[in-house]
Amino acid sequence: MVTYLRSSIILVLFVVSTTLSCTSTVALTPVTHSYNRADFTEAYERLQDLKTEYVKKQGPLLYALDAGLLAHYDNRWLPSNTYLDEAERRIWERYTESLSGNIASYLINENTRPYQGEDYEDLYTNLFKALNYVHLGDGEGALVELRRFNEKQQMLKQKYDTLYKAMDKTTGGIKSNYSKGISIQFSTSALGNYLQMVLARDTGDIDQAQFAQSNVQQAFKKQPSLYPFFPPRTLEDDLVPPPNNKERVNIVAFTGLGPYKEEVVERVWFSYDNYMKIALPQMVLRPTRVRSIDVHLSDGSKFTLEPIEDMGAIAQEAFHLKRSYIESKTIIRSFLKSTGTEIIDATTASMAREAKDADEAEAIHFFGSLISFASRIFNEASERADTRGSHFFPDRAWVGGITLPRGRYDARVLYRDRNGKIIHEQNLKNLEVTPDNLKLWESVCPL
Amino acid sequence: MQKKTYKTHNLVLISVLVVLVLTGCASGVKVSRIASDAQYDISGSWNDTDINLVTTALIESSLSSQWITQFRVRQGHNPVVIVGSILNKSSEHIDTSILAKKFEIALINTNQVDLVADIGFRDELRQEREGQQYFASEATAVALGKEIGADYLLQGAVRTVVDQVSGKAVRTYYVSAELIDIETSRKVWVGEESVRKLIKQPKYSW
Repeated sequence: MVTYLRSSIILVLFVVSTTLSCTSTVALTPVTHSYNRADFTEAYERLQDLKTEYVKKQGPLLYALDAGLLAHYDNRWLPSNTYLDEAERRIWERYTESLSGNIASYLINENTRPYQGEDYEDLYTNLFKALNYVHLGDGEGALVELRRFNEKQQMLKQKYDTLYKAMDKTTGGIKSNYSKGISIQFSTSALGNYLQMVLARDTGDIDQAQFAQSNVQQAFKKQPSLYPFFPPRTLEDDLVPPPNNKERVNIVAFTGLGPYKEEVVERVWFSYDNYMKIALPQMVLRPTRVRSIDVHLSDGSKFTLEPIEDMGAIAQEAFHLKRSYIESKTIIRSFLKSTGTEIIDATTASMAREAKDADEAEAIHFFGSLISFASRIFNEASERADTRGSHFFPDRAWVGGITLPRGRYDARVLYRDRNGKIIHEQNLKNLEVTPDNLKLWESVCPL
Repeated sequence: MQKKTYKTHNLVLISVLVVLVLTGCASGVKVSRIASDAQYDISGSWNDTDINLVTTALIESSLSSQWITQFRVRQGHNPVVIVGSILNKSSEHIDTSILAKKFEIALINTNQVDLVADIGFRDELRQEREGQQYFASEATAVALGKEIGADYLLQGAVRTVVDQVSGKAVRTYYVSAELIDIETSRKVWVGEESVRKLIKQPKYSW
């Protein structure tokens, strides 16, 4: 009896300690605080300070994504490319999953698998790498990244089809309300093609530039739910040959922060004392406060930027089907866990009925309740949604263009909210406009 | 006495086991030399095997065509070639200067083609020549205006086509090169070589 009691208590303690130790988040408050103040240098340095803890708790992929983006915002093009290269490689490598980790995800939760990266993270990593190459003056390198970006886009649709079939197979036909009618609208990025158009133009490949321009228009035409705004007007003039001694210059700006994941919990009661806990990740948008952007140049000219891509909405759309797959898996796992508790309860009741005397029945009840309690704690504490994700992808991208005489310019980029109030300002210095260089400037607003 | 022997045996056995386990766990960096012609594909990306395959085929194609002989018969001297740029129009970061250099080596080793410094080095040479006019002694300074004009420009491009689904990709590299008569813009030789790879990535591993 003493042995049974000891074993049961050890079991309960083990379950409690194991499930509680599954939680692993890292406090990024000092980093996000600096980021929100547009102090990208400090944000990058604070993140570097947290590196050991961050990598230990969240893994090297998420660290590489965050460090790569903050390094980019802080104009550290080479370190940014190093981090983003690492992130891209890790996402590629993690296509091959550990079988043991995958089995564990069916028994415990999705957090037992190493973070594989979201599709939008994989895709936009190439876009920021391309911009790093632009700032390094390497147009060929930038175009390599944008071609890779295009290849990934083409693969997305096929990937979603495969995932949908896999989900159907896993559930064996069980479909929840959420997964009904899932279809992914995203197949062409207007922003990726726009950047390709500008860079192909600046490197003299007009055919490629025109092809990319038509892809931008197609992106708006074919995906109206993801592009609920007009194509930017600059598109009409960007490939028009400029007059003598003038050049077409474009600017891309990023505002806000992309969506984050939060846990949504639902409890479905089986019986009066047993329930199924369903914890799912949900992407929550953080729409940018910026409603308009003006660019004032040192020669007195000015122009406005227009939205070209709602990166947050695309992130959410790309996550749609994956969430549906996770939901099916979660339901199966939670059902199995709760059934386990039911079996423990039923076995305890049956054994107690067959007990020799009242003392033995009481003992069986006691141990059975203890094991059942441990099972409930395990179900409740282990059923956690995978809310991991990178933190610094932007919410929206804007573009604009102007034809300028050759020379050097300074630019003031003014970000306004819906009341027209300037909420952020960035000064770009010493921008060169020559026939030989890449004429794509960049600005970032964290709000 | 016998008890003591058993104890010693056990101690030795345990020590051997511990050493075996510890050495088995050692995971330091291991480096080994491999033959330069051995084929190794790790990620499926462009690698030294592809470079060797492509350049060998393209150089063979170029040298077997008649442009060198025709030029030598017509002009009475070796054609002069300048190596231009081999553009990377693929979706991978490829150092195309390796291809250009291999071409350069193969052409110069025929002893039937002369090469002049490529565009990237020319400015450096010109600066040096100009510098010598001021800083070197008159007897040793090289003369200006004696550069040899190139007859042909070698240029090319690397392109990729990728057909992929999750976990499987067919990646084809098309490497093209051409020799252009600088005076007439006539193409005297055009070659293309492709490398096709099937890359499979397992979904699960232990």
